Amino acid sequence: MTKKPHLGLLLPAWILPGSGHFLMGERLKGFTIFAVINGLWIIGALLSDFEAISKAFHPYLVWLGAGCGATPLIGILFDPASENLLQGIQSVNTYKDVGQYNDSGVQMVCFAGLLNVMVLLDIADRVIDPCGRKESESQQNETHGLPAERK
Amino acid sequence: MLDLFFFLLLTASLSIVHVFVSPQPRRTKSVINEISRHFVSIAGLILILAIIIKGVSAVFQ
Repeated sequence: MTKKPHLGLLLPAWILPGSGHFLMGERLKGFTIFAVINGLWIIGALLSDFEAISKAFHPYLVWLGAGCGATPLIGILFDPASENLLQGIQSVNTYKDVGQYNDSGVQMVCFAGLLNVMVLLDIADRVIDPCGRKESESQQNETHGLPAERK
Repeated sequence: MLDLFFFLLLTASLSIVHVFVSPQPRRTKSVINEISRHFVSIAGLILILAIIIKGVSAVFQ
């Protein structure tokens, strides 16, 4: 059963990618989006030693990942990567070298953020122009001999 | 080799999310077919671009 989309779904969808579609009743879609985007974000954050979500390390690039709400929220509340930086400043012995796949991790977090922006736009599009989407779908369904309403 | 895996992972993610969030008025195939088609198209196009760029850079070296 599909529930009516509303702009309030943007907040959960931003904080936890996939939850917007899940709350709309599209559970398979929501779960897939949840697995893909959160998986990318987690792998990226771990590969980059949380530098990808740190304003101290990537003051501008971090905003690309801000499409996922976890990036700015964790960055504002506590910055796990800054501890590495502080350790590096305090002592050379505790300095951690940059991992081989650090850049790939940063790319993944940015990618996850941008993908979630696509998901948010999909939800917003359903709220702002639901008629246009329905008309376009029903027109195409008629051309292919499918029923106008899909449940 | 891990770089190739990351490349394929990102490409697959893009294909999946793109197919799920784009309005699909002409959905005549299954979702998995569409995702596979997008995946092959995107990965193939990027590889072709990479080959072209490699070729051009080899010419100028």
